Amino acid sequence: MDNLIGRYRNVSILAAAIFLQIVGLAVQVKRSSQNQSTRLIRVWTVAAITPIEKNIVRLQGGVSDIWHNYMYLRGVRQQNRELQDQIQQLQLEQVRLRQDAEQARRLQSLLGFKEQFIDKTIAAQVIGSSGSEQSRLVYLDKGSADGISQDMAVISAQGVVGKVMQVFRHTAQVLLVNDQNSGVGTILEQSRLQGVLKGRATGELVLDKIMAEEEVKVGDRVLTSGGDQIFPKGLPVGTVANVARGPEFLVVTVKPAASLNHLEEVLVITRKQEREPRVSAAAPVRAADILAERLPSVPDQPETAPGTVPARASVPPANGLPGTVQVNPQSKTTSPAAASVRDPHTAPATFTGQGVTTPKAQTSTAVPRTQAAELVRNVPAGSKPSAVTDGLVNTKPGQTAAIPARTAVQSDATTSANQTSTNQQKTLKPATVTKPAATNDSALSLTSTPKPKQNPLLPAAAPVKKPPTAATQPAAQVSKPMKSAAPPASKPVANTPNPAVQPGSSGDAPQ
Amino acid sequence: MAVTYTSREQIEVYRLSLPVTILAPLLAIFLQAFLSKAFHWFTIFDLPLLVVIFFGMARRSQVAGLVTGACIGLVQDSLTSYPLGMYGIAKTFVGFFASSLGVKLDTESVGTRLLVVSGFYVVHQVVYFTIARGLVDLSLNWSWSRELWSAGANAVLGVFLFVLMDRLKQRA
Repeated sequence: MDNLIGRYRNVSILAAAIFLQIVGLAVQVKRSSQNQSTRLIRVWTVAAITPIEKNIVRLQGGVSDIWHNYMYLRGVRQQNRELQDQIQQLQLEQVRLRQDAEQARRLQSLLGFKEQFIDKTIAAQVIGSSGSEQSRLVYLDKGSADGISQDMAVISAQGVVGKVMQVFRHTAQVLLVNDQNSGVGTILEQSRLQGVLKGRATGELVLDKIMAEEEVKVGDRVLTSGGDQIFPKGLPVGTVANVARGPEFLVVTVKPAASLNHLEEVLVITRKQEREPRVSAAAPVRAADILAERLPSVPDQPETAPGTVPARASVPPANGLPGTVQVNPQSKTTSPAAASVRDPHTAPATFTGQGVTTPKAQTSTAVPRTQAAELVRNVPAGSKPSAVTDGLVNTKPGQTAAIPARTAVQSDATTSANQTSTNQQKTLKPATVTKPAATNDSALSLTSTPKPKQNPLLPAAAPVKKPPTAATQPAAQVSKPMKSAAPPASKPVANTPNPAVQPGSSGDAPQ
Repeated sequence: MAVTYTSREQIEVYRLSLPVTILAPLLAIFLQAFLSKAFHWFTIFDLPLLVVIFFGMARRSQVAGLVTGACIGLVQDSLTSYPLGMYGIAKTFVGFFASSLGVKLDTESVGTRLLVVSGFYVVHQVVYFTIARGLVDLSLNWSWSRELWSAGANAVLGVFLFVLMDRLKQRA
């Protein structure tokens, strides 16, 4: 026997090594809590591998940040413009959705439903993977020390990523939704059919347990149902990519919403909250109000200095009603030069550096000549008179509405100050809203007298539509000299009339 | 140096220093995990397997080969969500047979390396899938085309990698 073992010593060792590993494997498979039985080895490996990964990812991120934030900025301006357009569109969309949400909350409240909210999340960076095609999991740079624990949901901006499987001190292991050990309770957005989303060996996502007679459309969105007690309800998981009929169940292939092969940053949902829906007591916001917010703001009424000559100022009621203007507070920090926004249907409004009077009160804001000159002098070089618009307001990108606004800056300063103010205006050129030519009237007069062909408020200038250009940016953002921003009267009529606009209103402000 | 059955006395046996023995497998496992995250296609490669084959063929000791294979395989297992031992068993086999083969073949020829690596890759995958299906009850998909393509890719990578690793060898 000894001879036999000695002769086949190496093979015996091989057999012993294989046997031991098979026994170990069998023990792990039999035990339900396999993670605990082999935790020590996994901790050692993770402790040896992940610190290097973490440092490399940090270094990589630092270099990438420097490159993208300080060097490679090509196209950023254009992207910024596009994103601003997108924000405007989304703001309008949000108004509609808010109404729907409020209605849904009211109904849920009546029915005593409870909502589950994502209360707290932790942002984490993906630092590594299993390195195996068969096991789809990733490692995060945050662990139990950061508040992460087992079975927490992991999401990205696009949708569901997976769940935390094992947690170490400074690292966490996340099982991706497309791993074959994974399962997510889901619901189809349109048909409201519920099923379990599972991963396949090939990495595909398949929606399981949907009866063959049900109708599932390709392109339908798949959301979390909340039934698995891990993922909150309503998170996007993916879209239906293919539907095949099996003998008993449908085989619904789902394209994941999150890019599971290119994950970089994720959010770990560390706390969920369940509460009854609260119905907002606030009055619903209308699209008109949102639009009005983009118009120049009405600064607070200042106290008028005694013994000064009042400047003309009036503005329609800023309550969001048609024909009124709700003004952007940004104007408070802009040029102190006076400007008037006029609506032919209402009394003319005059914006000054000190404030604007309401049409009802018809009070005047007076700025003494010396004070006005001082204000003009103190104008920051880069400030823009956003309180004074170019007579245009974007309803949404590509759609521009004319408002009955005119700029007219007037002062009651004496003519003796003509020369001084003209000089001051020269220094103010970037910050003023009208051409220097408009200063003929008086010392501090910045009155704008646009030519009729440039007047956006002529009868033809109902809401007009034009492609989104810099000139058609929202009034609060584009504070250009009026003439340069005024659209030609031949612009196409917009699809949606601006409620803040008086159609057919004339732009010729009474002087 | 060409090694044949008739010149076994001329077999050159190499040894690898302790730092290389520890760090090279760890580096391979780290790169496998890290690069697969950045480039998903990198999962077709199996760097730890290449290290097992290289160590086995360089040392030409069956026991050392199987121990190296088992250790590297178990560490690789611990990064996955599956039970420990699947890669361990597969790489134990590969380590053992690679060192057995290293005694009989010219392990420094490019052609031999291409054949050996691609052959061992297929053996490794067959063992792994057998364990996964038979013992762990995982439903993994076997695709001959994919496995053969991966075997070829690993063989090409192995040729370049082995040239680099040859510099780490020390004559015993």
